Amino acid sequence: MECKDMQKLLSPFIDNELGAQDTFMVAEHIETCPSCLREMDAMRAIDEQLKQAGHTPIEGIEQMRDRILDSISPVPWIRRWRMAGIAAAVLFSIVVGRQIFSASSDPETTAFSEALIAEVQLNSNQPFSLTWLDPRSLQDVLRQEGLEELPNLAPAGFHLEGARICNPLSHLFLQLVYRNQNEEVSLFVSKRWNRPFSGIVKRDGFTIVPLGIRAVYLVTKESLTNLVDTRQVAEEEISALSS
Amino acid sequence: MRNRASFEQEALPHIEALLRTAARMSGDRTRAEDAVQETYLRAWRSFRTYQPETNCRAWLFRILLNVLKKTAGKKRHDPLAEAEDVETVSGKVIPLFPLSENGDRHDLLAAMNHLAPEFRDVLWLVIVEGFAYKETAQILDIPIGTVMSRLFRARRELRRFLTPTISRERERASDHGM
Repeated sequence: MECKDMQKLLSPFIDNELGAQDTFMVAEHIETCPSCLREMDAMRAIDEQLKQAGHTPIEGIEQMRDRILDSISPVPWIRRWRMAGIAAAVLFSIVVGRQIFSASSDPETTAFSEALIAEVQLNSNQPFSLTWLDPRSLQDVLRQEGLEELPNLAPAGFHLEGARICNPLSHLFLQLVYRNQNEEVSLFVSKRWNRPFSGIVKRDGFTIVPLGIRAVYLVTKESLTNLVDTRQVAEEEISALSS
Repeated sequence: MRNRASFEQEALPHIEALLRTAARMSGDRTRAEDAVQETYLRAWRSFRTYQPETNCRAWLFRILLNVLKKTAGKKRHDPLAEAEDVETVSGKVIPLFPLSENGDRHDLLAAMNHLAPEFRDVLWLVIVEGFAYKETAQILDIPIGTVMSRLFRARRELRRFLTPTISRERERASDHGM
């Protein structure tokens, strides 16, 4: 092998990323080739400089850690909502009246909608398939949720892409993801959620359709054309499964 | 059990590496802090389904890269041109890279900033963060062969830009030896 070809292997060689045969071949070559040895030494020297430059201690890590812990802690979250709830109740009772509490834009609905959207967006960022349930685990979870068999809740033309457990706002949900050529639909199912939402929530390009207190929601992009049909089918199926 | 304690134990030790990388790739400490916080929030939300066999560090980096991609849009900041040193929320100025006594940081940064972002990212993840090629491929969502070729080209280019520096150092070492 010529030096030109050999030098392409130097990079994976110094990273220990070559197979045994190639490693042996490169090691043998550089023993007898001063040019490639120089090249390798130069690469290693630059690597070392870069490592040193990159690994400078960064200040403010402890504060950053505290902020992260605070953001994932349920206590401040509950406290915040409790305070927000009290403030909202006082304001509404003075200015508007009790009927406002039945509106679909209450803080809990808003927070829950945001959490569902975050879960859907997270899907596209999930790096590893390990977080998705295999068919057998999915059947177990469906059984736990009282959905004995995989319900056919997908809109026409969509197929089941995968399922996972998620916990938006600390409520355990099974998320079923359906896909066609252009779009994706997520269904969130939980027997532990019994809060009825009213009205369709549109936010950030998503539409969230409540399917009843059985806690099933569709999260879709606004352009989904057969949303009404899907909702009807899903409501019927959920109703049948809940009875 | 995938609870808060195990999240703290497994995920939080990587804050510094994530922040370092976010600062390097975004060129802005405040944006880097926001991205790291968002990364942990997303990671926490899906931690219940996180499998212990998963490489936590690589998983977090993958989320971070996606967060950065979304927040930055198509525009990539040039860390050298726009914010070589950045101001933190506490007001202290912290260099993204250290300046060694002979001023090598500038040479190194200048050289790195000649590289296209996709080459810089691979170089950073493999050399500074020490990820294997396979992990880097997963983090950046590119084939492993692409990691290998980008790394080879990045190293070759970097060496080309740094050659005068290396020569100067050798001369200095040689003078010192005499």
